[in-house]
Amino acid sequence: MRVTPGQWQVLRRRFNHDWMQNRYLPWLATYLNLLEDRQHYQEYTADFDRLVLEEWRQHSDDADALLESFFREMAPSFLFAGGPLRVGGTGYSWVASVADALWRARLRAPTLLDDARRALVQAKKRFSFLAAACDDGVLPEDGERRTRVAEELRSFRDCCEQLGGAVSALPELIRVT
Amino acid sequence: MPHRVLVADSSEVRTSVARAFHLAGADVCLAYGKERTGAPSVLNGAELETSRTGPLGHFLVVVFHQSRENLWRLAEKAGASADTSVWYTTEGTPTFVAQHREDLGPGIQSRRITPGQPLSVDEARTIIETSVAIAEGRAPNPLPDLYLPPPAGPEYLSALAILCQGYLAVAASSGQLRDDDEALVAMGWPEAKEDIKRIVRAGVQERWPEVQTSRWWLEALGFPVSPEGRGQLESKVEDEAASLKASVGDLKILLGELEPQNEAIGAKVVSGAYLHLAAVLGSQSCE
Repeated sequence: MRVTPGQWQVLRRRFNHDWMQNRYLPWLATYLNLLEDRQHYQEYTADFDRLVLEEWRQHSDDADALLESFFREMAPSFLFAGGPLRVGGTGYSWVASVADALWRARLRAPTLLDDARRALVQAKKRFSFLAAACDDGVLPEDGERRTRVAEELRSFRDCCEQLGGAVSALPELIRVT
Repeated sequence: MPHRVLVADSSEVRTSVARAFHLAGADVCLAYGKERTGAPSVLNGAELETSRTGPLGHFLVVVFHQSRENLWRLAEKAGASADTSVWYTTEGTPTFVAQHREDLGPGIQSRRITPGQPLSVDEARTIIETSVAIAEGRAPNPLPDLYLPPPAGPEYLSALAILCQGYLAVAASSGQLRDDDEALVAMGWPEAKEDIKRIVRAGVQERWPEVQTSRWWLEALGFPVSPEGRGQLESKVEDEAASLKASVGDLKILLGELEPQNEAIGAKVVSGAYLHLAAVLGSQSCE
């Protein structure tokens, strides 16, 4: 069970560690800097659509899948699908339900999941504002509109950071005690 | 002449990794990028920076963070070469990386390298010695523990903890234990008892006698209901406890009760076993 991580842990790692923390948030920080740096601004505006907007559109589905499958794959009942408890059969299904109920209470799992879901909803909302502010991928030249895009980007970045934190707070291991 | 080691990483542990190799006697070069500075370089694939000026040359081993292999590729383009390579990770599951990125070659699977658990000088020496052996065509088989995944998790201890929870929930639902029993509190009963009573209510009269039998415990885990079956379970439990450097403790009393004919395993025995399991497992559980 320790050697073969479940699909949920794989999704979590790819979304939060590999993408959000190590790629996407640094890119958002980079573009926030660029929006205040006229010298390099022209060079990188063309990549904004690909690196900020398209990336989010592709990966926000991963966040949906991650949160949707959390209870199914990280609650103790998952251990009845493999390992020693797989052999007990349906006569022990009530034990799995008991273990899950205790797990939800001990870890405040529903609250943690709600926090992550709220953060995702908020990030999606701020993303739609950002996309609208920059005409779906074209960064504006004039100063006033640039300021607005920067404000929207900062709000969206803050939401992404909250989402990353909320996903990090979800237990990484199947906790049975 | 000291062995040359290239550390390719931009994460916060890069300096400590480089330091470990330096203290192990290697000639260390550090390659890193600007990924976290917000500089424009990230947009065109990161600019390589190194701790040395001039040509990078040939190394015994390149040690790279698995998510920053691009730095190693950039170093290669800048003229670096190496006999061997080793990757490590600061987050996530090293075993997962090994299973899904065979192209990365050997890596540190035994653990993550973090600021709190930096690479030790001994581990750096092991990597150097192993790299020399691999470069000379005499790769150790098996590789040193550092390169191997940790032993399998405590799956029998975890399974027993879950069975204890089932037993204790039935015991509490049928009035055999008070709500303030220490094990009930530890497992989250006070917060979850209404939900759990709904789960066990339908069959609590039948389940209470059932969970007191050794048959219920042994069959759940796939062991024959016999002295041999009990012995097999005990052996598994002892091995897992030893791997966690823990004792079997009060669990021993429960295991002793799992003789084939026993139909009266007591609530206090299970309560004590659960408390011991909770202390041993802590947050380790199953991955």
